[in-house]
Amino acid sequence: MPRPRPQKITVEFDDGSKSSVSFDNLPTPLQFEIERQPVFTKPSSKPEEERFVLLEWEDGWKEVIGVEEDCTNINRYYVISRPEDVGRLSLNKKDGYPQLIEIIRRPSSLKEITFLDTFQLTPDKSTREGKKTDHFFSLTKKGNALSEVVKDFKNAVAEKGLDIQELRSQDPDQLREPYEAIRRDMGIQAGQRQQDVYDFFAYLAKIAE
Amino acid sequence: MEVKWCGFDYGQCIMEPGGLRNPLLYGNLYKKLGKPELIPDKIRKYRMLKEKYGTFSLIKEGHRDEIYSFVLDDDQEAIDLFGQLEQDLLDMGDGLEGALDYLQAQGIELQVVSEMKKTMGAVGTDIVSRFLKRRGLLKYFKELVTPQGKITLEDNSIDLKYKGFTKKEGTLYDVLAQELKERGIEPHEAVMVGDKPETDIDPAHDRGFKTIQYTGFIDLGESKADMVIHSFDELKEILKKKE
Repeated sequence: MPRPRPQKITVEFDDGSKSSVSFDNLPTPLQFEIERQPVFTKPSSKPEEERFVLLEWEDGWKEVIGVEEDCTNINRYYVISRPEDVGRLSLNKKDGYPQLIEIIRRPSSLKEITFLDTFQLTPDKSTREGKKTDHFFSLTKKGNALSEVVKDFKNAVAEKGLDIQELRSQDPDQLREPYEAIRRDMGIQAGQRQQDVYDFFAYLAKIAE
Repeated sequence: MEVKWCGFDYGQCIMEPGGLRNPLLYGNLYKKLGKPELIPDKIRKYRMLKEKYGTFSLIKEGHRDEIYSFVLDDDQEAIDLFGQLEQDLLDMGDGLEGALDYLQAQGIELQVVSEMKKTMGAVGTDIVSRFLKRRGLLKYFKELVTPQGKITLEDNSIDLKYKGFTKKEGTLYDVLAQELKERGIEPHEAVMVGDKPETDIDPAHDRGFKTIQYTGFIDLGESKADMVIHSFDELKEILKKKE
């Protein structure tokens, strides 16, 4: 193994707390993302044992990619050509630079968005630029779905024999298990980060009357 | 083309996997399991399996156990959910039901002939049987012929005389031809419909079956097929019952 292998990742939070995890326990794409950051990249001690792929394009562009040392030969090369739909939800921010959320899951079938209020989505206009087409949706205010979610949350909490007052006062780290059971009952998934859904429940517990 | 029997391939023929997109399948699966952070890794591993075996169809029909072990880490909850979500996302070939109605009304016997080599779990819980049951196709297909045996779909009983024989080697068609002969159907009175030249068309054609290559989902290139169709609707024009 000519290149040093990371063993552990430690994250220090701004409240002084720390979390560590074995590098091998991180998802592989994240391992790759970390390893390719310049700050974590170390030169190979035995470059003669490394393996590389060299690519050259018709326009003369060349790239080199380091590959795993046990790669033996080329399996195949192919190009997938497929129109992809990606939803883009942007939220205005005070600093003027909106937060962009990509919606991968059936973006054209998104029905409602709740952020402060609930908005129903209706296909509006489509604009084509070359091979790309943007399909815009109009947003029509439609009450607030959050009150329904609060009601469902309260029912799910009661069904689990829990008490909202107790949830409000408990250590959030102790609530992952009951929150996970409630989440499954309610059929709510985390879009990106599992902790978001638990924090959302903590929020619901705070606002529920 | 006048026939008494019509066999259909399963993957990319009766069943169209166009809706089975990896970001959707693994996205839904790992969000439901409460582990959304694993989604990119799972998709990456599944794509690695594709590079190992060539196509997703080949993984599904022949190496399903590796999806469970390599991609899903033998997590039983993930495996169960995978089977359920996969079924939700599969489609049927365009015009299939209309063609099956027609063929059945003609009195042509219908069977599914799949290259499914491995099944995890009890007979009748495999992906093909579940698809046929869930889509209400049991009214057309009573039996599923596979290298694991011939499964009677209504009671999940299995006839092992097909066990170990494959479409690719053609040996499954040898057994099928013999069985049809015993029922008074000669190979030239039987037609096989499928998309893959190397398993559905050429070996069946070499044994005297009539063959129709279906290119509605994927066109896998030249074959020995007697005819090529793009839509199952065309079967209504092509096939008639041989008296």
